[in-house]
Amino acid sequence: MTYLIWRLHRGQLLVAGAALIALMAVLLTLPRRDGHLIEVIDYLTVVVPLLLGLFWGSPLVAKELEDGTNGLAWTQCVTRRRWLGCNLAWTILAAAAWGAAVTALVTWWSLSEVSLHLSRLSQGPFDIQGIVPVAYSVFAVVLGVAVGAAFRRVLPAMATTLAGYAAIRIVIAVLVRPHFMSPVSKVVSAAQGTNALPTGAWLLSNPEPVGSTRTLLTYQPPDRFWAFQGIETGVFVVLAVVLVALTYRLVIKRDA
Amino acid sequence: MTTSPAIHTTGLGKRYGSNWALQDCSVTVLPGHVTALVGPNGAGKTTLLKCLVGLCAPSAGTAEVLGRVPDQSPEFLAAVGYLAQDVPLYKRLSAEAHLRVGAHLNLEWDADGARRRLAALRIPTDRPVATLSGGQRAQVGLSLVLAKRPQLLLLDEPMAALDPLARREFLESLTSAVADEGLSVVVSSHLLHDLERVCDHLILLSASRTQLCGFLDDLLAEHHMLVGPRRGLNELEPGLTVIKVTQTAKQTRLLVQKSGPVLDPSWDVDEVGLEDIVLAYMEHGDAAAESQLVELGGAR
Repeated sequence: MTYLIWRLHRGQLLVAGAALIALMAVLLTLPRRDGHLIEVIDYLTVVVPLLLGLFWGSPLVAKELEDGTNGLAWTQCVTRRRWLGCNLAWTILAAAAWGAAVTALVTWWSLSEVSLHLSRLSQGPFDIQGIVPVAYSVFAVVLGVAVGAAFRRVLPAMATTLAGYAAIRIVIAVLVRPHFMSPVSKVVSAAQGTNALPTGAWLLSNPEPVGSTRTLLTYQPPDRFWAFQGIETGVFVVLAVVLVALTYRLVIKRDA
Repeated sequence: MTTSPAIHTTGLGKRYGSNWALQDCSVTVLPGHVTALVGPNGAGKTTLLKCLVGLCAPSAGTAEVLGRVPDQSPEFLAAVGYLAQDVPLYKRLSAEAHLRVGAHLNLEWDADGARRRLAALRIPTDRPVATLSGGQRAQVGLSLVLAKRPQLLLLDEPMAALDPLARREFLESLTSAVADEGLSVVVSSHLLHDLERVCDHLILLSASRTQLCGFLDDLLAEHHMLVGPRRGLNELEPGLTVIKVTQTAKQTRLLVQKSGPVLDPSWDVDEVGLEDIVLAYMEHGDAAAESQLVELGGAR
């Protein structure tokens, strides 16, 4: 099975490898203290898992069903379970490795820069460092595979992966993540305002005036960074597991 | 000598939503024979073959292939070679790459035999199969299924897209493979004409149902064309099944099925060709389906 997967997807691997080397070359030559550049690189890094989902995940099963080559692959002496297992395992592994490599590169590049480090809990910086990008990458490819297996066509699968991935990421980042742990509230003098926050804290709502001289701050303290990374990773791993189970049902139980 | 059938189905049916793609299909194929699976487009040929190779789970009835229920186990898949409709191959891989992949995916794999076969046909094995002609691709597909050394070969319209020359070459390859290996084959086509020369057994599907299943010789022997003066159909001798009636002002022509000789001397009995039989049954199937619809309409 591994040989078949290698023969079918080595082109994609080469493209991905070349892209990684290009990214490395670009980061090495870029000045590290440019705020605009950091933003651009941030955006790029945020879409990496999505690209993996679109170009590795969506076509994996859908392309075979669209071309009818599943009729070839599924009638060799390999059970469909093993066929899917090997395909999923290699795709997930490749996505995780690639997500990790990009994250490591970008984190290394930006760590010396204060901006990432200081607000690492807030949306944006949180999403491109630590371990969550690996979970996003795995989730994105598995979403692509599941949607492809359901739709049996590559293009609708890609479109749905795009929309689905964006929707789920936004919903979790905006609505769920602030409540991973109960936020800390603190009343400070109005003059101090947000300056009273510990460095790197994630302010959840606008400061509320309490009386005329004081103000209420609701925030997540910065030392919760790794706890939040762990919880967010767990959420996406659970989602990925559900999608893998769904894919198994779609591929093994349904008629070819 | 009693041999267990290569394929035996009983009341096999497959439903997609509310449509029956295949219904009440009971066929038996003995090992060592080449069976033509014919029927108009949409008659359920592909569905039947998919059920036989385990790609489809039947909605009704049972199928037994080589003595077991088709499933996704390696042991079953090793014994059955299946070439899907339109000969799907990985377009960007070469024939040689397909052969190497096959070696990894199969328990038994005769790559050298396949290479010899392709070399004899002068089919380039180093180019992506997308650059080959339809005939060459079909030959690559056939070589791949034969490399598994299966006991049973299921081919789904392998010649649909081929020109007459390529068809003939494909059939020759198939015939010599069958002669060499002694395997059982089921080939589907909507044209009986393609298969008449290589097949000795026939399954005719029409309107999702089995209309005929038998050896060509038997089918030819038990079908007759009766020609005589015009008359009604209520005075026919027992044992006759009328398949097709053609009435003119003076004459009645009947295509009938009867296992023994026709006794009524007032008929001129002619032999009929296979194509006539098949066409008559296809019309018969459609008519039966229509009359069912009429009955349903009447009941309402």
